[in-house]
Amino acid sequence: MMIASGLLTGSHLTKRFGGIVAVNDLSISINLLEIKCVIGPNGAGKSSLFNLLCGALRPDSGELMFKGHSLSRLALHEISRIGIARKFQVPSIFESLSVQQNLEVSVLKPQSKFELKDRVDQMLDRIEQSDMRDQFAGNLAHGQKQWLEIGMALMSEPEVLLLDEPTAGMTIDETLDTVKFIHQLSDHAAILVIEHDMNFVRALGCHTYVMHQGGIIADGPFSGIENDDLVQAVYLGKM
Amino acid sequence: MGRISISHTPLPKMSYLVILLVIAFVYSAPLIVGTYSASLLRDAMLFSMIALGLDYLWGKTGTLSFGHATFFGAGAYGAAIVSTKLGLDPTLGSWLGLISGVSIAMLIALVVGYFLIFGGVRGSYFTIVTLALAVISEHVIVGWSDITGGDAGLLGIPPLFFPTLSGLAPLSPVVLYWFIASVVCLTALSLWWVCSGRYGLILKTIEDNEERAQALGHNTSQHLLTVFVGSSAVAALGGALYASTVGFVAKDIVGLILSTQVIIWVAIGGRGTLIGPVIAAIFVIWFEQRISSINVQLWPLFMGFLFILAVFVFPNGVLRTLVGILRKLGQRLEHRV
Ligand SMILES: Nc1ncnc2c1ncn2[C@@H]1O[C@H](COP(=O)(O)OP(=O)(O)O)[C@@H](O)[C@H]1O
Ligand SMILES: [Mg+2]
Repeated sequence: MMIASGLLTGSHLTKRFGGIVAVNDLSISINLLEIKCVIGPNGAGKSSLFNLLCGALRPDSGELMFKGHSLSRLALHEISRIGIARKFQVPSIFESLSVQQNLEVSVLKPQSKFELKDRVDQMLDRIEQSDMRDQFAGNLAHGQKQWLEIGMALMSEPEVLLLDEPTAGMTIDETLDTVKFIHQLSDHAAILVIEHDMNFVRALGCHTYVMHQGGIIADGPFSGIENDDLVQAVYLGKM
Repeated sequence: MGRISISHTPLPKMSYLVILLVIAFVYSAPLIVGTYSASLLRDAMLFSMIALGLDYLWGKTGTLSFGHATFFGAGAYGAAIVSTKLGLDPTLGSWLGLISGVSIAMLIALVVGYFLIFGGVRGSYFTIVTLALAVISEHVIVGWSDITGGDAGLLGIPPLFFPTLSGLAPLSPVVLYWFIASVVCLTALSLWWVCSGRYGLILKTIEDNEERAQALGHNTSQHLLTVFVGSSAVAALGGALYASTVGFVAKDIVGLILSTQVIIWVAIGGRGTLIGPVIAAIFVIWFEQRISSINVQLWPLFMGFLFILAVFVFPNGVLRTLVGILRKLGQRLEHRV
């Protein structure tokens, strides 16, 4: 497979768990302000790939580069500091803090109290949670938690945003809202979305990788992917 | 959910009143309860520093240490050894002992903490290792008797000397009491102030979801180590002051029993409130003296009873519960008026 020299590039990534090869010699790359999507059935290895890309897992082999620098020696918090932010699959917000506090702690080094308050207010507005700023984040509805977590990831103004199943547990309306939201975000950051829900990916309509058994079996614009026989076979479980 | 929302809201205004009353009582105690009772209170305040230190760690980051008496003990023994064994002039030795005691404890915390925390040891594994630390430190004190005095302990630790009109001299009992009360209050209030803002929130994120905090760029291991060393320093300061105040140290100030009691003080006082555990420690120790003077066997029973009370009746700590009751009463009165 050709490796483009993108903003974030993983080449020949492999990750094993015991006998299972969760990610198998996989190469992927994302460019500035690009939206890309990885789909695949459950167990395809999407979350494992995602964890490799954000540094939460170390690859057994393969190389991960961000702007030409290797990420292999960096700790999780260092990877975040150079501009790669993530939203976990299971909503990971700080349940015992308020919505506003969740956003506050997501800014690493605020310049001043006012600057911080300003940015938090803007983000509350963007994720449509201004009126619930003082609620405990643990009391939010599932979809709201997902948005809050995206908001938290954005507070550091990342260059790459990694989203693992951002619409899991959302209603159809919420899912479509999230698609709109993600499109707006792409003015500021390159976004890689991991999803399992075909409808969401169709609405997002971006360059899509299809993952199966740890590898990529197809990639291209979603419209082409959807009609691909192999992809259909994988999704319908005929393989 | 209820538990979560109560235990992390900032303390309501009412608790400032409670804290002020306690401080007023503490300062006026020598004049009210007499010198002997005041000396018990003074020692209780020094032990409460362990609870304060532990709550900085356990209450703020959710990391429970079963070995915090070790740091109190390291502070006390460090101070005792340096001030008695090096042949120093007591006017200098007592202060050098204090500084050394605290430094030794911080060094132990730094080394142990570094390997545990940066080695990824968390949660109950961390607690178990600190439990081992408590047991080991007890053995070291007993076994290394040439230096620590073993079972007999160390005697003749000089008091702290202060400049007076007639040269360097120890403080009178009442002034010493006020000095210690001030150190404890200042330490507690500054720790509380430090944790009341953004820093406290960041520590809270570590308790809630450490991986998430890391993914936001927080160096959580660094934070945890700082808190661990800081919390040990607070406990050690109590220990070092204890050594110079009481004049002797014995092995019961390190080890598992004291470590366990500290956890109970924090639980009773309300984990995460910092001030609550200090108040609880002082009251429980004071009670202990009273009850033990009636019947020594009664105390362990009573302690068990307190622990059950802390867990089942006041899961948010006595301070929060008390404040809650006061607030409800206040609301009732307002309704009447
Ligand atoms: N931490 C882990 N330990 C062992 N096996 C794992 C672990 N994480 C994932 N796996 C396995 O790797 C495979 C891929 O899982 P995952 O990456 O979660 O897939 P997806 O997100 O596409 O559903 C699965 O077979 C899963 O059981
Ligand atoms: Mg997954």
